[in-house]
Amino acid sequence: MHSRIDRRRLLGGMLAGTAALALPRSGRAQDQTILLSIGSPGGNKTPLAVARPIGGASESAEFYEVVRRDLELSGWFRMIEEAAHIEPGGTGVKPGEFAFEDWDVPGAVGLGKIVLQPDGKGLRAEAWVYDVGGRRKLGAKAFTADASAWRSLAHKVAGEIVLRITGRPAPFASRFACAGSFSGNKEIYVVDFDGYGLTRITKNGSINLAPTWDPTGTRLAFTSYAAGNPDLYVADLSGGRITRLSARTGINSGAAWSPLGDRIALTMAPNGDPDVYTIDAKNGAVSTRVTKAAGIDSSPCWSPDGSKVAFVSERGGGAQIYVASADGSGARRVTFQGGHNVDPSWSPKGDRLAFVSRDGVFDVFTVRLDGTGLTRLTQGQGDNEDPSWSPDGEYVAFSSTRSGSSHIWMSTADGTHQVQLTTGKGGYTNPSWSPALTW
Amino acid sequence: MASIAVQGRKKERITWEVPASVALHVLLALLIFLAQCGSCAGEPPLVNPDNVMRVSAVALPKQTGRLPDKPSRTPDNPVAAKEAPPEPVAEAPKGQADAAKPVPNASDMSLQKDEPRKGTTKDRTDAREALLNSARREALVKDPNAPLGDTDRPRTSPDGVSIDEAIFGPGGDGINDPELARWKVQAEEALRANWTPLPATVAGHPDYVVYLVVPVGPDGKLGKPQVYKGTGDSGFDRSAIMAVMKTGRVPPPPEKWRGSTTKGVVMEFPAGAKR
Repeated sequence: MHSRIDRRRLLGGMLAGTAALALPRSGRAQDQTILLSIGSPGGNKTPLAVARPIGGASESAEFYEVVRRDLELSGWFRMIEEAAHIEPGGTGVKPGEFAFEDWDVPGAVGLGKIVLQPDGKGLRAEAWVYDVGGRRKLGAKAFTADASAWRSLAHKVAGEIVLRITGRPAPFASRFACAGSFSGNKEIYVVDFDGYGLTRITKNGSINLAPTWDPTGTRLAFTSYAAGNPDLYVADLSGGRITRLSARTGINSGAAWSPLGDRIALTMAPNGDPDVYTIDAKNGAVSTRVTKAAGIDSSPCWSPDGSKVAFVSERGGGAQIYVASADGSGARRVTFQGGHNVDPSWSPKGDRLAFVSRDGVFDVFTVRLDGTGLTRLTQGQGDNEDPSWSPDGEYVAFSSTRSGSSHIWMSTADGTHQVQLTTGKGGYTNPSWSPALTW
Repeated sequence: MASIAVQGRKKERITWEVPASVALHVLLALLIFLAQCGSCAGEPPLVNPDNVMRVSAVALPKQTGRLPDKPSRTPDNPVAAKEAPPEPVAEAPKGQADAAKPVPNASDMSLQKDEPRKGTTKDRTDAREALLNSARREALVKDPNAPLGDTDRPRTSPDGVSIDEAIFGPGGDGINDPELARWKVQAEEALRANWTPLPATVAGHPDYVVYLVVPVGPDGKLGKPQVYKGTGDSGFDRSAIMAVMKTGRVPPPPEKWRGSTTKGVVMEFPAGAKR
């Protein structure tokens, strides 16, 4: 950050250098130099142009639409309409093969150029990213995939454009696990970031709820009534096998994987009083009883370093969010406003908790761990529940009924940019955002 | 008047005035004695003590020099002042005004000249006040909520940097004109809305600042920007120029500042931190 003293000297220098710049010396009011400080450009979306892919692949048109939609969903950009592009179609993507001036005209600050071409039985995509104002290449990268995985390839290309222009990774290659009521029952599904590629995980005709990803993105824990009792199951996505991990009397729900993936925190009530426990992720043996207070304790989630657990407790009267060490010691209350605060989700950055508060309807908030900095993400737009952070901590996903039926929505962490991710007739609940995936 | 006659050699002679004076003194003493004897005999006093106001002697407050004035009572109702506006003072011609001033005489001037400069009460108060103000400024730098005293608050940075660094104050250029300040806010907002530097540059180089000099016409039209100090990153510098060109026009500057804005306004574009 520049220092103010430097600015003062600079302005002094400007005053001294008035002869060259025809600037007035200070004297009468009308002759004083006026300084406008434009401030941080935060909040302005970057004008971005992405040219249609060259290379001749048959999937080019759909591929291009997926890339554009990803970039729009990110909230970083103001996409320049294709109609405003003056560069002829098919122009090259490498430096020297096109003119930056062609992209000045539509006002592009960033430029993405794509090559998509057949590569044996698969596809090869290249992403070339440029700084139009600086007349320089920001980066280029190539990806290959099976032809059937062209959507994943498009997400990779879009992510590369975001990374080069913003300096931050994009969550396009991640997925959501959710409970979906599309077939009359509630089953567990996995869906791509942009709402496509819906894949059913369970097919037991029962009620299946609250899926959560393990840190590797290859297993899902969820609660199912398939055996009559709300038991905890784990689905191995790589092997396609589902095993029951905890079937203790009473509830076995609200599972959350530890950051190392070796333990699962969940709510159980073996003696009738729901409390938070941790169990071994391999055999389901109880590791720790985290809460022992009278009243309901539920909905645990882990801190990113695994040292703490946040949970909901009614020990103070209404449902409020508490944080304690993973062994249950040092519990302290985090939320104080509102009488019903539930569903905590710990930011991957470790600094905030997202949660749901009921004030007539359900809305999503975030708060610092010391209880300060309460930020409302949703208001007056249906019920908004089940917050889940993106792997990079830049976004919060949640289920919302604002468009009628329940869909997965995404908001930037400050709530300024909110978009609907899933489409169709709806029925998506309990979204859980995966870690960055390689599959 | 009787006098002592001197004839031949010096000789003092007692005249009739001496016995007369003695007799008068004796008569006066007798009268006083008789009056005192009368009051002792239970006659009513001349003044009823119940009606006497008792006055205690107290030390006068010391002169406090230039300590800040604090309101000790509710200010006068401004409406009353409206009802009785002060008589407009007719401005006297220069010569008459000068004539009305008291002309200092030579003795006044010599007094001012010869008055000792050190050690007076006023100087001691000034020195004390200067010391106090210095301490207050130091306290303000450490704690923005410290008691203000008569410290020049606008010159003190709200974020606790030194006063020297905060010399420009909130306006940035030391100009304190509310009308100008309002225009600056509007113009800055218009320019900020059109400033879209590359986010990666902003995130990677939060220390980048580009300064432009831009003439602003009386109607608010922005002239051709000149880079006064760039960053060396042509893309970032260009983003500031593009912001000016895209904005095109800002609200018309205040009339009394148009002479200055037409010659050129300095625009500062700091990268800062985005999102």
